[in-house]
Amino acid sequence: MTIIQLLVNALTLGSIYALAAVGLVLVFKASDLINFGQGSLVMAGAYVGLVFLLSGMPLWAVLIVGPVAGGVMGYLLDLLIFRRLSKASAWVFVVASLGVGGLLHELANAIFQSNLHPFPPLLSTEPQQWLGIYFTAQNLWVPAATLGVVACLFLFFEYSKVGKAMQAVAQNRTGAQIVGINLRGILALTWAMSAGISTLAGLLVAPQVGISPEMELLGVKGFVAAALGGLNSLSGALIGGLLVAFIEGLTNTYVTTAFKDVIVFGILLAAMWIKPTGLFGSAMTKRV
Amino acid sequence: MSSRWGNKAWPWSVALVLLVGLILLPLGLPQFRLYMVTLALVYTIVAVGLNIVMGYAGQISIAHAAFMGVGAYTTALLMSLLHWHVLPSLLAAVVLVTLIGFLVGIPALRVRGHYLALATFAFQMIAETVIANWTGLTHGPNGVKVPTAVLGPWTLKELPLYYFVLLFAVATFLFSWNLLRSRLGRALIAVRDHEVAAQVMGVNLTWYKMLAFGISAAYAALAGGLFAITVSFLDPLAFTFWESIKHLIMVILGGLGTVVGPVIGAVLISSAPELLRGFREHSLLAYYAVLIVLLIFIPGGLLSGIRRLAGILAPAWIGKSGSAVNPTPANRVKRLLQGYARPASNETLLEVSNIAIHFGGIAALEGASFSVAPGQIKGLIGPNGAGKTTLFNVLTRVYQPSAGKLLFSGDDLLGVAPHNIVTLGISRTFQNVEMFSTMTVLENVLVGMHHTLHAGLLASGLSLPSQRREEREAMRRAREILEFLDLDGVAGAMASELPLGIQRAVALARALAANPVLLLLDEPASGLSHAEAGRLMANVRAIRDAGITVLLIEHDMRFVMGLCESITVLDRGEVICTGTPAEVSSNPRVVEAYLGKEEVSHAGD
Repeated sequence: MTIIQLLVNALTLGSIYALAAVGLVLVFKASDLINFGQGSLVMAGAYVGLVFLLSGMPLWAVLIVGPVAGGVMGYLLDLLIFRRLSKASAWVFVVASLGVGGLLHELANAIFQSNLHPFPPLLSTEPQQWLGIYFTAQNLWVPAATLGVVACLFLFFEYSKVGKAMQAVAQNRTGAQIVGINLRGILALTWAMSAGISTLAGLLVAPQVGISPEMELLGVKGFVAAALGGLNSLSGALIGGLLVAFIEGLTNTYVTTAFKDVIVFGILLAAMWIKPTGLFGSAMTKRV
Repeated sequence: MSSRWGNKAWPWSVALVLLVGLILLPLGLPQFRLYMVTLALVYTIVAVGLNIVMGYAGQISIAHAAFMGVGAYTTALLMSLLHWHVLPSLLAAVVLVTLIGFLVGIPALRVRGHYLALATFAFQMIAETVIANWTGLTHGPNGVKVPTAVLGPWTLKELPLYYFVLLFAVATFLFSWNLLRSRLGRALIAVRDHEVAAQVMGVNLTWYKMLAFGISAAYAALAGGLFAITVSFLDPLAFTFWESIKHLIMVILGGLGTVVGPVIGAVLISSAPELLRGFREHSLLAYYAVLIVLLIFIPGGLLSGIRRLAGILAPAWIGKSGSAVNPTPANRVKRLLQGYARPASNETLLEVSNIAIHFGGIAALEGASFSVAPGQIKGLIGPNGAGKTTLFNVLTRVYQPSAGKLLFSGDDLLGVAPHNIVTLGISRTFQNVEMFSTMTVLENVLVGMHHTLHAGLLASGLSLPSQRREEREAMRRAREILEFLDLDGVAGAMASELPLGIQRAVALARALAANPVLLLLDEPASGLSHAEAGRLMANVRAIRDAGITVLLIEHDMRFVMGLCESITVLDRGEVICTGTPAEVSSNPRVVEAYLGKEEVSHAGD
């Protein structure tokens, strides 16, 4: 297999990792905290979409309504749990996010059992060939949608008032409050956006892997992507996601299938050794 | 925490009763129950170890199931493949896992923040994958059969196994109990409570976090080995990510940062399958729900809940503050401090030359230069934002200046690691006091002594006579210092709960405990009543008379002018004037920059 073919193959998974990483980065930027339940958000989001699909909604509508409903889930998580921890020390948040991950995992297990649910692709999965490279319409649409989302995010942060308020909160919480920014509202919106984007990630990857509680592992690789790109960099998340998927593909093809996760998470460890703040990130500041 | 328990005999009698109970417990138990109890002991070891890194050093590990797994498989494979004896197998597991722990932990702990959680998370995923897929060694999902261990005349099954595990559980518990009540435990709590203050007191942050993480990894490995010989069959599912979360729940449920809490948590969670039988297959759902509810309502865990209840019924230190003014005779103070102060030999003790530091384009200090002579009380004044506190932060290596030189008794301070500044003889207080908030007054002062004490890991964990002697001596000296500053009445109170005036005195006591040559005081009189400020003045003079040089920042002009022999005035990062109080207050530049229209008539007081 050529390197270019590997790159093309990595586009779908890479997009998913990137979106999961974007969800992580959004929360990290706003609150300086790592949401260890991120993998489960991707998984839970996919189930939310599945529920709509099973109730007879057309697929294209599921892809729009699903992320919105996922956003509501994120808002509720903030309202019921994370908001109440905002004054606690950082470890409380970290453990709570792990707990939320566990809760979502067990809920999925309890409601849907551990069965694998198939999910239809939006576009054709008929392999096409162009200059000797094989691809499907579906695995072009996924990275296109991802790029679209990230582009929208850039525009949102750059040009909208709310986006700027979010940036202000990320940079200086007290300062933002002093100039009259509604901190609670911004944090709630951050959670909603993070969960909505995670849901989209889950729904985009679902046709390829099916929906099951184990889908979390895909979301979890968003950590590797985010750590590689820098926990507070959106473009880092995008590049990190593609890089992780590409390395994973390389490992899978040339080295080992069984141990590919060792390599992927080895990247995370190596990142800690070399540059804990990631390729595009800046130093983590202490929350005082 | 001896002071929190009170130095009474009852904890010992409680411990004795518990121990006898644990020894007698299995005699009436059916085999299955005995197995459950043995496993609970194994989990106690993990939880106690995890608490050292999480509850004390304040760092989160998500890899304790992986550490346990590597420990379990190492023990099992050494015993089954190489036919090793159980004891060297356990030892090898502990050594291997501790090394892995260092490899995983060091890079993440160099940086401030929750990188350890990320790194351990990565290791957990790696270990899981390796255990499940290295079929040649671990047989993957088919598992490994662990040979029955034999120790002398005993086959380690059932009752002998219980006692074998109990021995380790009690030993590891006592080790951590001793450790956490020693100077090392205090240093860990200090790091958790306030990193900068801990560093200024001489605590090497990275090293202490590493130590805590290393010990906790070793505990997990030991627990893993014992787990292997208890269950006699290893399955990769016993060491997954979710198991790591279960360990976290144990520690938090019982009470993070208490020595006994994790034991309670481990026992409760390992018996949870029994307790939660009503939930059937959804028992895990209940775990996570309980965890989240706990975090929201009592993040301190069950023990803190109980303590809070007890606190409502009997407030801890009411009526103990404000001890009678009982000035220590001057000659005694002199003896108290002189015994420890090291006289400076040079003409100038501290030479600050051309120090510059910038924060994002704004210059906080721009070529500031001045010197401090030994035996002086020197004042550092200037309007807000002049760079005074920044200068203290540069002196104690909290900030790195972009240019300039710092010489202290001939030593270049900029070549010294931040936690070693205090060993050279510079200690300080902070403008915002910065108490170690979960410690008592006495413990705060003991942390101040950190660099003067030397008990190491083994001496502390085993509570060797040398360590106990050193602790007794430290305790005696800490009490003397508290007495000198009229704080003996609040020695057992939580420092952060005291009124600001008393906290300032505690901060001074903590800085004095470090046995300084040069004492840096950042706004020591701010927020003090007139009487308190007067007493502080007398105390600072007494400290100087005992041979300690004092450099202080203060806005209270009466205080500065009345106390200092020499004053340096900073304005916008530059020294604009140095001289006696009279010279400084009549200097037109000072009047213009700082005093402005303020009256300076009392300057000569």
